[in-house]
Amino acid sequence: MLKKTDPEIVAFLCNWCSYAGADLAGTSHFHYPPNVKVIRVMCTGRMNPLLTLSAFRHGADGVLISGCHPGECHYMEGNYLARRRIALFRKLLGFVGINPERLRMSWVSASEGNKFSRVIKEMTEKIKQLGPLGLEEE
Amino acid sequence: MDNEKLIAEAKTVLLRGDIVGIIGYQKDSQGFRVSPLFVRDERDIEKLFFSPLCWLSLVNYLTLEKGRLLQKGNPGKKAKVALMVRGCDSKALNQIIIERGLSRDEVYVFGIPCNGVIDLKKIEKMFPDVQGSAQVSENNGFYHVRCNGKSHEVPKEELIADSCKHCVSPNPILYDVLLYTPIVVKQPDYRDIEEIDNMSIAEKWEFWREQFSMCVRCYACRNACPLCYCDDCILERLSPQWIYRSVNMSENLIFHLARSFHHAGRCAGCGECERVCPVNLPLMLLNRKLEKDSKELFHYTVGEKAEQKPLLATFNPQDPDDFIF
Amino acid sequence: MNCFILSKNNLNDFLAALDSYELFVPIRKNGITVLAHIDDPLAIKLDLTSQPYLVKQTIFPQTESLFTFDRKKGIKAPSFETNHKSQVVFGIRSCDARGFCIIDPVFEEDYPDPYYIHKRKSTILIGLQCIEPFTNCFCTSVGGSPSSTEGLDLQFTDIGESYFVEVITQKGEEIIKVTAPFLSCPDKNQSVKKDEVKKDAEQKVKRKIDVNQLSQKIEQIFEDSVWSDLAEKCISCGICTFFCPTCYCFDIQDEIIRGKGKRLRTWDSCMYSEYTAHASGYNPRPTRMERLRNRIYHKFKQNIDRYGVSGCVGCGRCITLCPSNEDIVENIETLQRL
Repeated sequence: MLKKTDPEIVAFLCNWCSYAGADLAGTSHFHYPPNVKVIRVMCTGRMNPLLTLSAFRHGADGVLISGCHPGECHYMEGNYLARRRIALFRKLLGFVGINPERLRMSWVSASEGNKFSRVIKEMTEKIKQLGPLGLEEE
Repeated sequence: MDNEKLIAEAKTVLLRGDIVGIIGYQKDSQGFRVSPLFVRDERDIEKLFFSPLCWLSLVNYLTLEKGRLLQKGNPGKKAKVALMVRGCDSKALNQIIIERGLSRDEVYVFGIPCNGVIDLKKIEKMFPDVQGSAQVSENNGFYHVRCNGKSHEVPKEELIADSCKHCVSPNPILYDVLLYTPIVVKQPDYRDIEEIDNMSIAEKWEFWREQFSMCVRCYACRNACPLCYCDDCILERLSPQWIYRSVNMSENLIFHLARSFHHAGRCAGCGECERVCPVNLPLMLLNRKLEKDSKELFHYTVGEKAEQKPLLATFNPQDPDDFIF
Repeated sequence: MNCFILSKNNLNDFLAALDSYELFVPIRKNGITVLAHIDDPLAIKLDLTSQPYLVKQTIFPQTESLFTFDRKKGIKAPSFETNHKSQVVFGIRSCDARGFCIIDPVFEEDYPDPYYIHKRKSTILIGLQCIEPFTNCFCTSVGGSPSSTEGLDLQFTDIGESYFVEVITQKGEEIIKVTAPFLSCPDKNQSVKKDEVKKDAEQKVKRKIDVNQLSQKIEQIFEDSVWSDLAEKCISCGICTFFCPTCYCFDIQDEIIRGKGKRLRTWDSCMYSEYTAHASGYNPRPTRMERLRNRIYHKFKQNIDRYGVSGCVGCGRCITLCPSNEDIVENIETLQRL
């Protein structure tokens, strides 16, 4: 049972690469912290930055968006568009006082189960350091 | 700025027959106020004017009510409208044309190189209790204010609107006729953005928390913005509901972040959002932060070229990725 | 009527003595004056010269939770008997107080609204006589005045070194009991000065509208094209309705986050196109013309028909704040000229 002091991370994983990679991490028994809640999207290119704000609003302390490596996107360009969007949005978050480290991206392919578990471990550590965001209590 | 050329052009335009009307500025009979004027026949032409008091964007009226203005008198068919357009307005208009919200042949543009306009709240504070109409003209870094039978010289910095202080596009980027001489372009200045960027995370949060707790969610910023013309606005959608209707710090934060991010790579810098806000929120700070980052990260400037691909619909394989695991 | 004198030096002490109440005073924030809840009246700097905004928030808040619900614990309604302390709202103008009187019947008749009624009963309104009416005021044309005490429990009049305090109601008397150490009795000169200030203020109201036969006129010219001309500038933003002391429209929404929710009442505006949008897609007020016409109709005809009094208090805030300079005074003038 997660205590309130444990960080909650929402991970938006693209269906073709990162979700499969996370699946592989599971079947290969690569451990990663239970703080993450996974939401499958077809492509990181569909990630509206407002979805990340929505996640924060509903209690997430960190958001991860994970997709295919550049050049390998199932829809050709989705991950490139997401990269640009999220790069810009993070800066805006930092500008209003939400630590941009709470919003990260990763490139995890379908065979990188190990990488997925590393990414979640690192992200959870970082969010633990930053503490709860508390946006849903305002 | 004399109005002769403006009025002469307006007369010519109305005689053309294919233009249903002119949207311009008129001086109100009270104080320093300026209103939009919708000229449909010659009788109203003489009221058209331009002066440093014209802090108002007319481009908004083209897209209000799904562009009904353009259909007047020609039901079902798009008619043509002339309008007075300052430098920033032209960027907004250009952006709408790029996005196919309007087509170029629906507008006849009176281009106005603009050296900055006056913040109404500042001038009303400086000169309260004005009887009758007041006039302002500009000369050499000073505003010449005539009210209550007296004249005053005021340095520009004291009255100019904050959004005009950072203007780098005083000259319209598209026009059919240019009404005044082009103005020398200034270099961009983002020191005020950097000042906030340099504050600590906690300080920034406190600053914006103070501001957003004042917001009453009147939606004036959204309604006044020339680039907010979506039929189905995400800010008021109920299904799915992105933003709850309760007015508190976190919903207000999401409202303004959502709105300003929707203008990333589009914002014309006209400052209408700041002008209309009844509680004086510094909304242009968010827009200019995105403008600054768009320049630095993606070398993108709104209105650099009349034909330009939208910022977020394009990408570069070399885009920054330091935040990616 | 009981009268007292409060020296200006003692104003903050007077307010501090009201520590058994929730206190709202006008302060300057972001370039405007709002009624803010304060804990320490001794340390606060009041703004008593500018026109205060959003006074109605103190009794009719923008966002109000009607009840909360939880998947596990069920529904929890607010308990009115033990809900909150009474509140004192200090430094409002006569138009604001009249505004409350005008919206009272909306919430009290037909379907009594317990949320509004409870707040209204437990709020004490202390008014500040307008010495210099503001640029767009026209209260004297619509049944009001800068000296009106309608709806107030106490009225303060600035007579130079001190305030002349008039007790209007029983609620006002209770305030006097708590703050008695700082009050003294007025002498004849002070009383005369107070009357002068009041009379002066009424003369100073600059703008006027002609309400003679106005509601009949509005009905007659309902289909006239003049309404399109009036509404052409409007950008449908809603500022006028939010800052109007007599606007009361609201929306009710449920908000649920992770199994816990509340039913909220929030302000709505008849100027929004969404206001009359039907589920079928049809909208009886699709353009700004219909909405502006409806607003003027409501204030200057329907309110009179229904409640016998004009729905407008003549405070002029809609004129001051309108981004397109829609001016109700000019608009009424145009209508009357037809």
